[in-house]
Amino acid sequence: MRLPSESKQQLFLKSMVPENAVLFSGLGIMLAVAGTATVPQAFFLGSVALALMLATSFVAAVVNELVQKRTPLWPLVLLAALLLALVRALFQARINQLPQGTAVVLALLAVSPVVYARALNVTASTTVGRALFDAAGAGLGQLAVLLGIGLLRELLGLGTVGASPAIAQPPLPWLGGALGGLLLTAAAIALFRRFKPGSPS
Amino acid sequence: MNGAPFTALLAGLLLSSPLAALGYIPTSALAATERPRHAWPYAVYGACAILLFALCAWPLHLVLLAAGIAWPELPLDILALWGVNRALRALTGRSAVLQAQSPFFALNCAVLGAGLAAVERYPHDWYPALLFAAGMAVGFPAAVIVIAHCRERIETGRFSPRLAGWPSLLLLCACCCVACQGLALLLR
Repeated sequence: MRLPSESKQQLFLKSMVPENAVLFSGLGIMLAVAGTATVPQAFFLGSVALALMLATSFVAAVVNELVQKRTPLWPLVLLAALLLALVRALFQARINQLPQGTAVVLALLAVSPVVYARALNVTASTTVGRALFDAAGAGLGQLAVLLGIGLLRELLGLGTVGASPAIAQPPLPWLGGALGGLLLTAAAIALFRRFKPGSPS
Repeated sequence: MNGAPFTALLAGLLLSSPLAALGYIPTSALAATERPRHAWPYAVYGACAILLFALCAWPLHLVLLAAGIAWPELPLDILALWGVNRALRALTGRSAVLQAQSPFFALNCAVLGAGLAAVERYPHDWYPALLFAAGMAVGFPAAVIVIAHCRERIETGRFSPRLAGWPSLLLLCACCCVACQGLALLLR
């Protein structure tokens, strides 16, 4: 919940940690499971998601300030799809170097709930500056979680970090696969609940 | 007759494993599977959407491939997805169960993912691509219904509060993923 009395810094931190998009609301689960096979993949997809969250929040907040109406969902989705088409055209060589399926997951960001949650719910009742701080906190919090899961999966599953060899024989090769994404995401959420302020120890 | 179409259908059906694994089904199933009774309309709606979208996405891909321009594929796919949503919304009328889960953010993720997976796997053959999509259209509701029934038992049983909700759903999907991969190995 966002209060008018909260400062931009409070909004930023609240979106980043206690209301994290993956660990608290679960909106970024798809990205955490499917987009964290390696650290470079997690960084690329997390960064694109952050950029989309900022862009959609900015547009929704500007529309809200100008015409005092909520932006409909589908024009925002189309805008995100156009931005993703641009990203794909610019970074095609980079996408080809990332694990298989990255292009499909990238396209799925166009309809991912995590991208539109801020734009449709938060920006409808706030200013452009506050909306951007809120979206930046949510995007960076999500990126940090994706990088953490990606690091563990790549290190323990493939024995590398950012494509550089780190362990000669990876101890848990199955973590590199889809099963690893599901289990590590579940473990991350359970750990977050364990250490969240106010949770029973 | 070779077994390629059958293989495509089975691959699509067992893609409920990658669908679960890629997080499409966990994402789309959470809201829909609170009660198994409510999961049925959502599952059938999802199956129809997957099939309809694949029927639009594959010819679109072929036309753009022939024209030699790839960049507008995603925006055009999104327009097709919007059309599928509108058509199904008109057909299903004012179903209270479906309206409660509107605007289908997560379901659209599964539908787009299934369509793109079909195009990526069979970029030049329409027949196996559509069978693959048909397999996914059968696999999606099956996975959602199984998750709904298991989830009901998990949430009514004694379970750690830290594992309630998302973690238990993800663990369940991990089990489904292992089962589907094992089944795929047996059929190979």
